[in-house]
Amino acid sequence: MSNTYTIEELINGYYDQEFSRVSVEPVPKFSIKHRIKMKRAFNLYQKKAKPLSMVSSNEKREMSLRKRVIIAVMVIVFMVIATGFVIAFISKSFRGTVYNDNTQLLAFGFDSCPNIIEKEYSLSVIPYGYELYKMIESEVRVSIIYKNSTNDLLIFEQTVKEAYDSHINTEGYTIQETSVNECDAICVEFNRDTGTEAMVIWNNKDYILKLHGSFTKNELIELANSNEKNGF
Amino acid sequence: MISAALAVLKTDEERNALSEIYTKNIKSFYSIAFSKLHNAHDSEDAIQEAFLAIARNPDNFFAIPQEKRVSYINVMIRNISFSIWNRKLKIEDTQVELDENIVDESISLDEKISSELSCIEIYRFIDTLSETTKTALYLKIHFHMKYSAIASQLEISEEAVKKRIARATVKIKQFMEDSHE
Repeated sequence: MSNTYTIEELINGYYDQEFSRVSVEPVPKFSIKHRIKMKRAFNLYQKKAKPLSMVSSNEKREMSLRKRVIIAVMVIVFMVIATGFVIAFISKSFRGTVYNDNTQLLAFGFDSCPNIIEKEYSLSVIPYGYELYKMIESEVRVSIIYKNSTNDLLIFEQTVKEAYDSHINTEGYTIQETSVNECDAICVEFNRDTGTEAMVIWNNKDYILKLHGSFTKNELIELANSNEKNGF
Repeated sequence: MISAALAVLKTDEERNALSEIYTKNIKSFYSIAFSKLHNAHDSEDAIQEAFLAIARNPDNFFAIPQEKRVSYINVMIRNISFSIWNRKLKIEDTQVELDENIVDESISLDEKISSELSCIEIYRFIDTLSETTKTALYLKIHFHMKYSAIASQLEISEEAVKKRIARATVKIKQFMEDSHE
């Protein structure tokens, strides 16, 4: 009759048989030399023993990809925080990076927008007492500065979306989302010892427009709304 | 902080594990050694040599599942007992023929081999293999140890371990197949 075995079954069986044959012997009193050597073995083992967490074992599985990704993300976040580079800023029309003392803003979704200033805007509604003071032009940006009798400035800036890259002081201030004549907008109000200042930036479909001056954010939003409605 | 404290506790548990195993199982360890050596003094030596070998390579011991650690020590004591016996009688390891061309045929350890022989007859054949070879094979099969770990524990080269295991499996297979003739 033919039998089938695996090497594994045979070797395990052989050793099972061998150990089962061993007759139990009474343990004598071991010599001092043996006890010293055993103590030495245990001491050596204690010195060399590592924590379980450091040991590779048959029971210890390799870390899963998911765990490795989570750890990698945690390390990156930690590194980012440690280097002062915090998180991304995302609004409907703007993306940016929040640093310790400022937020860098960029516009997105500018595929069908002009990449140079094709039509120049200027404020059709100007706060009382302000007059045109200065104008700075480039292909991608136009800045118009208005000034009143007490030298308070109101800056109106028009930038092509592709070229928009602005650093806003957010050390102690928060960027808030708002809207200007149904256009996506963000605003910041700076309350300083010298007075209140605000900034409103909106995406008017073709360009990024900005108003910055010694006003509250609500006053600037109202001014922006009036100019949008009047068509500049 | 807590995990660090737990790691220390686990280390201490591991550190005490070897001496605890020794205390709890000394009767069976001594019996295994004595069954080969028939001498109390040599049996002491076999036990201490086995524990020293484990202490020198604790990682190998840690890598073995806890429930198999006592059987691992049993095998080590048995192997060392044979070495002491051979040393005393100046018997060379009969299967150290590593210079010859080894059959590179690799046989899966779980490959089914048919034979007309009973397992008792095959065990008798396995008994003729050298003790180091049998131990290497058992450490591989039963404890799933790496070749390098077996090599460090048996104090032979990794290449020798591979060759011994390969040769032993081929020999056992040949012996089983010859029974058909």
